Amino acid sequence: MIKKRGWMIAALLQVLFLLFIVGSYYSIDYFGKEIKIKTVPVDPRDLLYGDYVTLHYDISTAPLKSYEGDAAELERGNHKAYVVLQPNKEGYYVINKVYSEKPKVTENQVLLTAKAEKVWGEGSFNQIQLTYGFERYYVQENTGKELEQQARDMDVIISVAPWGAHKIVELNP
Amino acid sequence: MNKQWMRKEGQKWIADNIITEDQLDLIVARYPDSEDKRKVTGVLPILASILIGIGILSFIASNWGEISPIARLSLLIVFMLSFYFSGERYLKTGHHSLGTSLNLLGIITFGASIILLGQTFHLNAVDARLFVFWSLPAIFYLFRDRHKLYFFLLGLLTVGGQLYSINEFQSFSYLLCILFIIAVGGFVFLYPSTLKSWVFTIGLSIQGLMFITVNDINLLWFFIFGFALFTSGLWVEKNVFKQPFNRLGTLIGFGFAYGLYFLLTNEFSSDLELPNPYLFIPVLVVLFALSVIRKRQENLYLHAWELLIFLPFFYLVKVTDSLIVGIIYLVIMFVFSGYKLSEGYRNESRSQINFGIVLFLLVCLMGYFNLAWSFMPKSIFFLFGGVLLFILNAFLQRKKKQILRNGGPHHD
Repeated sequence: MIKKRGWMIAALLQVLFLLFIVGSYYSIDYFGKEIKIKTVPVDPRDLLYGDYVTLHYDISTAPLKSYEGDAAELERGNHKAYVVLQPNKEGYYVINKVYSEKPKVTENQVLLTAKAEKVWGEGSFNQIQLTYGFERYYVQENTGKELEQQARDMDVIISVAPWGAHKIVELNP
Repeated sequence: MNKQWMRKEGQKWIADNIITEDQLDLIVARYPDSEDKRKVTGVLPILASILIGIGILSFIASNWGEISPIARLSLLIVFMLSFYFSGERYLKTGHHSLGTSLNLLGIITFGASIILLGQTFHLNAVDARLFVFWSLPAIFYLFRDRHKLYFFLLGLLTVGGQLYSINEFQSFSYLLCILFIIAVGGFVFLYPSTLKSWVFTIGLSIQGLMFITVNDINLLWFFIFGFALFTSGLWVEKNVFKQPFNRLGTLIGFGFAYGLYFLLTNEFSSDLELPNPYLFIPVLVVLFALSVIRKRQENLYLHAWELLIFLPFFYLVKVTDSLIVGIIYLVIMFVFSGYKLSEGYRNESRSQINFGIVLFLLVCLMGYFNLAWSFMPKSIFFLFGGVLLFILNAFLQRKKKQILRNGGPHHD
């Protein structure tokens, strides 16, 4: 019986997996906390690949001195890091500190996980490059050009669930 | 059975007075080439179903914007399930290739669904997890039906996923690597086949190379990988792994000799960075010991020259001029491929001779390129090089034919 129905179980698991992807996405709507982040201008040539826009945020880089942990770990690249954000006077979320171990956060702070890598920043002092996983925004084909003009300076609203999942809610030029 | 081949072979028998013309006709007629016909008609439904599948998916993808997210999800699930369902139906009624290709489409739809949903919901992948999940149904069907199409799909997903992970995220996916070794390797282990064991060996080498490059490890550690592959070829009990491990290990060692020769005899030789000898040498020594012990056990002591290619001559650059070390590599390659060739002649093994010929021609080509490029006019250079290779190849092939004149007792 099980052998005969094996393919049905396999197919069902695949359906459940697809539903899980969608479900986890919608659940962020209910449990998530919305934060506003500023994008920074990037080279327009790097901005658009086919049908998505590459977004670069002012929280995408942080000075090395804001890192709490062994900075040598970052030399190898792609080290997991915990980023604590808190709102500034204008209401934009900016980096408070970057940790190598999971820290405790206060009520108005938000915790994000990112891949951290040491890079040479502007003015040649050491910086950390942070990749969060919401650097891409998929757009409908052939509509990227307009966004390309605007993406230089936009507000992005991101919803972050308590368990760390996140999604882009809105792009505001 | 190939009818044309049979007829051609039969003409020789007639010439040798073994059979008559009429008897040959009778023999050929006994074997209808129905198999070929079935092959052609079996391929058609596969092609048709693949075309239909691509058509459906590209239709959805191009009208993506007009469909609401939930409708997209339902559409994808309906397509996936109907592929699996009809695949199962056809398998049950004995249409194996059609059923398999429909199931294959189901698996492809599953992966396409993950990608399309990811785009809909702006999910950004941070690693190669997608390919891990995508491989799972392929593994299920592979071990259930043991059809080679699933095997190649799985190989594509695990090795391709790894390359994607390196390219997109600059990180090596250990999960994909383990999945590859267990599922692809396990399948070859349980159901041996020469072609599949080659696919496994090549895939394994790609995984190893990717691991070394992405972790910024000295490339010469891949040389060790090749040696380890060669050594495991000697030790492994399963016959199906022996030849690919041995051949690919040798090729990697040979490739390094090739590259080092080129590197060391040219100006950019200063780029050569050596791996830490306190780590590298002990590993090398262990592998050498293991190989020699095994060769002794099998009374192949005389064949220890095979290990020549794995000696770490590159450490000589510390004590002598790199040009000399480069020349040593050229000599080693000549000696090695010459031995390989002569061993093939001695064993009267067609595949060994062919392997030897390829290696030998490669060395000649490389030596010629490197030495003659700078001082010969380019047109003469190519002309002369081509003629040289042509003559050399003709000579070696003739020698092979002489050796294998009577069909020869070959061991391939």
